[in-house]
Order: sequence, then structure tokens, then C-alpha cells
Amino acid sequence: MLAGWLLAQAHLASPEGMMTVAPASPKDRITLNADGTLTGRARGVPFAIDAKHIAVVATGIGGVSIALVDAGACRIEAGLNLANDPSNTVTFDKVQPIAIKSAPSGFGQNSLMLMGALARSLQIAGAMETMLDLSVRYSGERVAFEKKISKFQAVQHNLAKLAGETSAALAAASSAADALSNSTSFDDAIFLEAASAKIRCSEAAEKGAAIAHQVFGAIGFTQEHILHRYTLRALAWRDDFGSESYWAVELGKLVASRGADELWPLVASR
Amino acid sequence: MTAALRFDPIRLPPECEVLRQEVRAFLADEIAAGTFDPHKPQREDSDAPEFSRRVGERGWLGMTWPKQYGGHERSFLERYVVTEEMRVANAPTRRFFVADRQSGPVLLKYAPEHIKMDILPRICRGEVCFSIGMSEPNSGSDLFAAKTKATKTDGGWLINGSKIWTTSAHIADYMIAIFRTSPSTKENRRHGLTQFLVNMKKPGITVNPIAQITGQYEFNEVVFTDHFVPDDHMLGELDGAWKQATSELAYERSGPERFLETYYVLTELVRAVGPKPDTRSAEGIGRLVAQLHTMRRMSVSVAGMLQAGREPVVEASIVKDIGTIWEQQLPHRVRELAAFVDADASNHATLDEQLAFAIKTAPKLTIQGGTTEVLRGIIARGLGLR
Repeated sequence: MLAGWLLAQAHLASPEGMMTVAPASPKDRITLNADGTLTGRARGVPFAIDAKHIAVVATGIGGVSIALVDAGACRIEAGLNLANDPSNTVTFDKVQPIAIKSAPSGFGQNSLMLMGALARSLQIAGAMETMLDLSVRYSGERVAFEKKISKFQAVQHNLAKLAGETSAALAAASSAADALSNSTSFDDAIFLEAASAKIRCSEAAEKGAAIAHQVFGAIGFTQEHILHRYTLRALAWRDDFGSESYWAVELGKLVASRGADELWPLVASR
Repeated sequence: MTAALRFDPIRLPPECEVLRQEVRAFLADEIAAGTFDPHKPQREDSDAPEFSRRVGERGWLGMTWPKQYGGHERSFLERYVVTEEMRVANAPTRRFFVADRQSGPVLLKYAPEHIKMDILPRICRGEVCFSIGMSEPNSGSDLFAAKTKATKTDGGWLINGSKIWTTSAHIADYMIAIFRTSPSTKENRRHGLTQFLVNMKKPGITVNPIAQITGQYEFNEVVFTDHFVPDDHMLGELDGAWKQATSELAYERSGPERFLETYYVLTELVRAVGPKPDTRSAEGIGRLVAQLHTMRRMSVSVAGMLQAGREPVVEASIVKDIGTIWEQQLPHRVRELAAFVDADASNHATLDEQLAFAIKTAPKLTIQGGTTEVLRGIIARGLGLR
């Protein structure tokens, strides 16, 4: 989905079959060489090993370009994220793209990072809704000390906290999605929305996953139980397209450069 | 799904932006005229009757109420904008805030017509101050343990007992209070309490000040000795106050005042850090801003759902739970980052002063208007756990 969106930014058609995007980390760079080939390394590219094509943001002397690359033309190392989903290092060694066009003005690698961060934020929020749902349901089934554990105040308060973190993730992610779908440029307000979503959803994932596992006890720690499909993915997605600490630094720099008296107007801009 | 939490991504409509600019211009004028200092949240002049009247003149009190009672029939979202701009500026809102947020809506719903016609227009003009009589010396969070008694007498009720932690009782013209009119029953321990409108200027009321750890004086003990309340001052159903209390909570619990009470320390930190922060300061500020933005989006979302006529009680409790914990932690996080501020930052003294005040304010934030523990109980009930 993200790859299709990226290609569409430069009016490139999406091919058949599975795609992924690169880079997936704000620190990685892919360079467009003078001869039209691509060079660079992208770490943590989701499902690169299974993808047929990769949509790439590349930077050259002439500015930023968007390219479609045959995955088979790149060196792709095996690798897994926390949730055992493929997460691969992709090396571009003078790779000739299938198609390449200049990115529209104002579009940079950061735009892809913000959109990727938003996509992961929405996924984290969704995973957290399920964690909450599973945990609430299980607490009404499991009996300990002759009571359903949902009747213990300590458990109730933990689940209330999980509901709070889930709510924060939902609100932050859906707000950013709404903002991005109603905006044509990646301005400061969009930056605030998308970066905040990734920061807050990642924080929520950490706190929420811990509570969900606490509610389930040992059974939730087993491979055969469904819980880890949500908790480990939510934790893994924190790292894609910039972690919460990366975005926090960037957001902090932005806020500082705008100055103290511009903070509230930015926050209250919509 | 067992728990469908809803936070629609609501945007403030364009009329809110116009209003926001008006409020900012008004507050800038008030600051220039010396009514208050936005850098001094600890000011002692927070009872500002003239300021209150000027806010009323601008049409910013009773904004959502019917025009026949002096209201302005505007939206909750417009009221939201006024509230957040006042809070962020540290404006002296104490005199009108409770009446506008809480007491007015209770009167609108439960008071007889002649009382509504008498009091509501005066609230809208910023002329009257309200307090809320809930807690008693041995019943705080456990509201339904209230003992202060209303005994039927000719033409009204005689009140005996005391309320405590009553904010603004010393300047209030009225109080909306719950008193015991019958014992609780075995089936319903919440039965037997009735809501009344109390005229604080009538005899039989003693207000005793209680000093707070911040050095401020906001709350009081209020002692009633054969204080007479006329029959038409009873609000709503006899013995049924518990039914009335809960539906109002969404309005009380999700507003911007539930996460902005210590906001000023964050602005002051950004000022002290300057345009080129070190990495640790940048990360710290970035996280706090992301959390603030998220809180506000949640709170605006609840305001929008209220405007749409829904009663998002669980969502509102969640906003207050995490909002108050956030504003409680904020001064402590800012304090950690303040260690890296350059010694020659021009606002060092202001930041230190604000931090000292905010850190002393922080403990009350998760107690007032429903403790964290009570809120989590409400959330747990909403999740189907109780």
C-alpha cells in the first residue's frame, strides 16, 4: 500500500505482485548516480525477501527521485523483526531501476518516513484494540483465588490503563491519518501529527503490551497463544520508519526552532 | 469487540479559528493592561471580578446556553476554544469557571423557571461565583457517604453539617451541594441524597479557610448551622441526586483544563532551551509535545462527540485519567530537562519559580474532580469488568 502510494507520487504505475519500500529508516540513504543507477543500503525493509518489486526514494545531484526497482536486482539479506516477520537489509549496488521519475516539489525522503510512520501508527493502534479486547475477555474467563480475575481491583486498574493507552494510540493515529488525507503538503502541522502519532503509539505499545502480558500470565508467553501476534508486532513496528526517540528529537528541534511562543499556536492549529 | 472505544478525528470548524483570534487579542489587551501576568501562574489576584465581567461582555460565558437565559447558543467546540486559550494564558478564570462549566448546566436542567431567569443571565454577565459542595470531612471520593443533613421544615429545609475542600467558597455567591434527605437503603446505598442550590450570602453559613501546600488559598471548610434553603431551591428529584451526578461527568472530565494546568512550564522550557537544543533536550521536548498533542486530540474528540449529542462517559474518564497524570508528571519531566539549560538563559529565574509552583500543584491534579482510582473504576465498568 505504501509502495503504491509512493509510486503514485511520481505518477509511476504499480506493477503486479508484492511490493515493499526503501529506505525504511530515516538514517539510510539511497543515491541516484550520474549514470542513472542506484547505490546504497536500506536496513529493516519489511518483507523485502518476499517482494517482487521495491519502490525507492533516491537522492541525486538533481534532487529527489522515486524509482521502481526489481527486487531480484538487489542483494537482500535474510532477517526477522521481533515478531519473526521478514525485515531485511537491502543493498543497491549500481542497480538499474525499471522506471524512475523526479519526485514532486516539496517531496523528500522525510515524506516517505512520515507516511510510513503514520501507517505503522495505525497498525499499532489496531493491534492495541485487539490486545485490549483479548485481555478484557480473558480476565472474565480466568478464575484465580476463587474469583474471576476481572473482579480484582488491581487487574481492573491495569485494564483501565490499557484502555487509556489504546485510546491515546487510536486518537493520535486517526488524527494524523485524517490530517494527511486532507493535506496536499508536508508542512509543520502534518509533521506534528505524523511524528506525534509515531511517538505516542510507540509509547502506548510498550506500556500496553506489558499490561496485556501481565493479564494473561504464563499462557500469553507461549508460542501457541495468539497474544504475541499482536504484542510483538506492535513492539516491532515501533522501529520502522523512525522510532519514537528519533521522531521526538526531530519534533523537539522543530518546536525549538519555531520558538516558545509558537508552540501553542502549532498545537492548537486545528 | 468487548470495548468499542471511540475517538473520532474531529477538527474544529472555521468559526472556532476566528473566535480563537478574538480571544487571543482580548487576552493580549488584558495582559498589556496589567490584569494578570501570563508568566505567573502563582499570582494571588486570581479572583478578578472586573475581568470576569469583561469576559461576560464578550459573550464568552454561558456560550452554549439558550438565549432566553442570557446564553449565546454557540457550540461546545467554540466554548472549548475559549477555555483552552484562557488556560494557556494563565488567565484569572476562577470567579466564573465553575459556574460556566458546571453549575449553570445543572440549573438549566433542574432549577425552576424563575430561578433560571434570575441566576443564569447573571452567570453570563460574569457577575456570580459558584462553588460545589460535594466532599465532607469523612466522605470525599465516597460521595454517597455524605452526612450533612437537610431536614424538612416549613417552606423549605434546614441544613446542618459541613462540606470541605470547597474551592472558592470564600468568594462564592452560591453553592450547588448535595445533602442527605433520607438514609440510604439496603438495596441502594446511593439513595437519599438531594441536590440543592444554596445562597452563600444567607445566614447560617461559616466559611473557614484552609491553607494549601502551594501557598495559595483556594479551598475551605463550610459549616452549616440551621441554614434555611427554600423549597424551590431543591434541584431535581428528592433522594435522587445520584442519578443526576453521573450524566454531567463527561462535561466536567474531558475539557482542556484537564491537561493544561501545568502547561506553562513546557513553554518556559522551550524558551530557556533556545532555537538549537542539544539532543537530550530535543528528545525530551519532542516527547512532551507529542503527548500534549495526543491529549488535545483526544479531548477535542470528546468535545465533538458531546456536540453531536453523544455521552462518551468512558472516553471522557480516560481523557481525565491520562490527562491529569500527564499534567502531574510534566513539571517533573521539565525539571529533568532544566538541568541542561545554559546558566545564562534569560528566563532561568522564571522557569525555576514556575517549576517550584507546578511541582507543588501537581499532587492535587489527580485528586480534584474525581480521583485516578475512581476514574479507573468507571473505565473498568465501561469495559464490562464490573
